[in-house]
Amino acid sequence: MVGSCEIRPRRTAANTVLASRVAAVLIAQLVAGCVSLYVHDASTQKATSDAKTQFDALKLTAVFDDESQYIDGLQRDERAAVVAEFAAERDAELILLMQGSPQGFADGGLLASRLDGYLRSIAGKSDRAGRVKLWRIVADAYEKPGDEQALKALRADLAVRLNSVTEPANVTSLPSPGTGPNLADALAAVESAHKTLSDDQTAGKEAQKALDGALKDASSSLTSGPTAQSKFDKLAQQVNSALADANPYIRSYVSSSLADKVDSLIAASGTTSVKTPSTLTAEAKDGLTFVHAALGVGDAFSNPPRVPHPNALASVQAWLRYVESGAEAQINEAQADLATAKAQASAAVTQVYYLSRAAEALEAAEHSRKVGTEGRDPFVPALIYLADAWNRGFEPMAQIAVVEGPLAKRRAKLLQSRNAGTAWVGVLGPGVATLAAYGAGGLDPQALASLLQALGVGAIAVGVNK
Amino acid sequence: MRVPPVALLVALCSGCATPRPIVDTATLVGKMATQINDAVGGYVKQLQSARSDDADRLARTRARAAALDSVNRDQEQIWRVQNIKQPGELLSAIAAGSPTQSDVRAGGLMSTPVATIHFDGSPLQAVSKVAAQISAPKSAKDEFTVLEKFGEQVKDDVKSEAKTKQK
Repeated sequence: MVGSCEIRPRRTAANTVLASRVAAVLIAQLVAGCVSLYVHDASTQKATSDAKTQFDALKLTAVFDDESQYIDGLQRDERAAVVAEFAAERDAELILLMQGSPQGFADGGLLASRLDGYLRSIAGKSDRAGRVKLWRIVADAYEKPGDEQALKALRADLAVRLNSVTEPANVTSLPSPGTGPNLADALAAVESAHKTLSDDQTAGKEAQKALDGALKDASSSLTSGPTAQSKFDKLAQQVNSALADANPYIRSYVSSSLADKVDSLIAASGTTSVKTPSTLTAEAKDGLTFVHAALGVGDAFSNPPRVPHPNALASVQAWLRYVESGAEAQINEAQADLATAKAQASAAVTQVYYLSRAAEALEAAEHSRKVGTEGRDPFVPALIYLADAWNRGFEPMAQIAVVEGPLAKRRAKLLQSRNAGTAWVGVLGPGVATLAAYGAGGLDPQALASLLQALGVGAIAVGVNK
Repeated sequence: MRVPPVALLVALCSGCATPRPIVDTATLVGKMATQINDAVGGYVKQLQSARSDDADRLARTRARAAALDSVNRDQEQIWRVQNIKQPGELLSAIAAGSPTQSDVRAGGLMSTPVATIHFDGSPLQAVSKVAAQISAPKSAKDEFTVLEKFGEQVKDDVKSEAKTKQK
């Protein structure tokens, strides 16, 4: 086999030159420890090229697109099923109330106990016996559904105003059919969700300022020396801590800002892997400082500082965008939590509003019966208000609790999985490209290998809500 | 230029070995490709299981709605047979305008087939396979085979260059 390896063909002038070159290359390879030179292997090149073609054809997003469409369809089906369920439950309650009297009129006593029980569990008290009516207390929030200020104002004076509500005797609490929080808890949840978002946002802006300062400081001393190294170490600690922070605003601001700086570095370095810092823009210089300090890639202390190969920068970029999009997804989830809390508070307000109107209408009907002035079907207004409490309060609350809330979470998880998938492909892509092109040389596979090792990408399946 | 034969052979053999950085990259690429493939495959399985649960839950909700609705319709029927029109009319009037789901009332669509989800992992498997080939240490036989092919390629190149010069 070795014998057939003939690299000394007949001596012509051209062949002599070629043979000399081959020999020189091989000796150079021996001297260099065979680090970066190798014999071309056509079959390996074909295999890596085919693998890259297949990788480029990878349809990872199809999985997420399919799931997204499925969730849309599920939402339609679930909504319809809950509507049907609540319509049937509402009718069953109305029928029960209408069966109360031989004439087919509603049973006033049963209706009163139902209204009292619902109001006690949802508002904290029934207002049927007194002159202070709950529907007037919640009227402003009822008229402005989802308005945070109105809900905040209601929460501020609900407890005080409830003191002036007179409850009938012997009220037994009845669980709300809407399977959601009561009014006080729903209002508290709105403020809590708002506060969390607001606090996180403020902390995020502070972290961004602090990091920008540290980056500028380290980047201004892009020269070798122990002082600069200590600055780089401090920066690395700060960056790594910010990118792993539980607060999504911190992760979002920091990763977005760093990704922009690496963008500038990629744009400035083009396809060359060496650039003097004096020719880099301030932002690109910051990017170089970051990749060196935080990831140990490139060599900012060499003279001139070495910019990592674009393939390595592309991996860093994919990773930063992943951190950023993961943080954005978490922010969206927190915002969705706030929207859900507001929708639940509005549904609870609506329940209280109509139940209180029903209780007032019932009292009016009872009074007219006592004085003998009742008309035909005196309980109809109360029943209509009760039906409204079902249609506009209980059923929407159930939709939020059973359908909208869980599906919002599921969409948020799907987005995170999609982001993770995109990041995996983004980080792996340059690696596959490196393998495919390694025959052509010119890459810095060691830097890329270090990066692939250093960049942790989150799991695809971040949780599948059921 | 003269190259000692032993040195040349050693040089040639070392030239057949895949460079260390490429081996490192290939090892990590192979590992990552396998991880992605496994992660997505597992994720798709979880999604499929969640879809089965969705279908069960929907079927239960629909069945409960249909059962309740059936009892309600029975009561309306009783009122009609007993010629008591008013409660039935009242119920319709009170509930008027509220949304209802006709297919559930009719008992239809109690369960829906579970939508299937699929992921084609063959591209990632191909990447893993090639990366594994690159990162695996080459046997002496492999190295000589590569060397032989390389030699043949050099010979062809030399011939081709000589022909070009002659023309």
